Amino acid sequence: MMRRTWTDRDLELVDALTCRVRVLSFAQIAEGWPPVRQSDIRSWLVRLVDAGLVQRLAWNVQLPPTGTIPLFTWKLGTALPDFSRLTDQVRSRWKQDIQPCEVFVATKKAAKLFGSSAGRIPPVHHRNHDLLLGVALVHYRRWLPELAAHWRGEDAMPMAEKGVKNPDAFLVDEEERPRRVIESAGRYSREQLEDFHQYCVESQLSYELW
Amino acid sequence: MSPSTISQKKSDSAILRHIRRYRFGVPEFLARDLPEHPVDLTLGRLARRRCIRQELHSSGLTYFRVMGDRMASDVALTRAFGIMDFCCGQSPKRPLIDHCELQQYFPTLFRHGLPSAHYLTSVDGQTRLGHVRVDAVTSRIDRILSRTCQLIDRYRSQPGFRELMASHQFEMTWVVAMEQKANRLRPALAALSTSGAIIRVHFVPALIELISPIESSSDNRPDQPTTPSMAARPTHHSRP
Repeated sequence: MMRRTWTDRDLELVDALTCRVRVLSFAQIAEGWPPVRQSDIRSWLVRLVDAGLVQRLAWNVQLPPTGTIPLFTWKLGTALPDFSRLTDQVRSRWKQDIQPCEVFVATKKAAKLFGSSAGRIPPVHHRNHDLLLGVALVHYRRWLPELAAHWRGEDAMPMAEKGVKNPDAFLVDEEERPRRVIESAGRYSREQLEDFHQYCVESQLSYELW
Repeated sequence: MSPSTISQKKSDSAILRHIRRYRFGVPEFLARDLPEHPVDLTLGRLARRRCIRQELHSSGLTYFRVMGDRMASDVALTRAFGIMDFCCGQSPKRPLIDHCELQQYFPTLFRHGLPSAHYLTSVDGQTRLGHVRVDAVTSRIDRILSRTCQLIDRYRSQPGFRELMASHQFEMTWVVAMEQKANRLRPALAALSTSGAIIRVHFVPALIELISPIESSSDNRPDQPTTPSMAARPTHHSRP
């Protein structure tokens, strides 16, 4: 009926940047959406930038740790985490020097198309946190693709009540009900970790802290 | 008058009526809406007689408009495509009705100032009147919500519609391109269900090629689509 200009990969990447995470680095995209050749990734992203769906930014940041498992996992009904130890782990892992990083975010046009609240450039103090969430998404795409399909980012979820912060992402069931929380701990303080834990206890949700 | 001539006249008339009703005619939807008529033959005959004119949109979509009607804007075409998919692109069909038919079926309802695009649908053996809107300009969720509130208020200002809403015989449907948007819109619109209006969201992935095609100016296309065409994949889904 119509010529198809959107490839499956276009749909998946724009979906990821509008409905799952707020930013992905070039390296994360290359890992999560493996190309045939490295140059293919570049020309693919240029095409999406030219179409006004994705915005390219150059940041100078400390790259996130590249763990392949969550930093901490908590299940409903289990003991309280050791928040002192957890805070130390969260804060001590940012060891890399600051370096230039090419990143991609969704545009407002893409966000409106996919019905999400994305399309804003993450503020400076959120960059580490948001890039770390990208690590988690890429991990899910590569190793847990069936679960990755159930990943819903904060911007794709119904609006939280005023003054309540939604977690970064949820794994939802077939009825779109949250079943597990995925949170990038970034450089969270002990207080932030405790608040987050309390939210999950009250919401009766297990969580993964990345 | 030979039987074939009568049949041709019937087909001509049915297809012209469909094109006028939906503003445009898309062969695939015409074939689904009017399976008893030879659509391709009739379209060719009507085009040769200069009753209709064939157009080719930049998306590759072939459509027909009545000769003398204005050329379609992209937004108008998107809207018409979304309505056609919702009303006659699936089973059971939900025929679009014009203002005259609305007056005929529901004599107490029609008042000037109502939006167009009303359809009939049958749920559990009961006929329900609906109003369909297409998110052709990709509005934000909060804009769609406020627009829906305004519309419900307009309908509720009329006693006839208030009665239909109270007896769950009136529904409103938003057609959007992406399933992701439909999933976020449904719970947001559910909050308005206390008005009595049933609000549905239907998604038509093919709309993305009309709303926001990815132009390949430098033929910068590293990978090719993995499915042959938009027509080959499921194009719609709706849930109350």
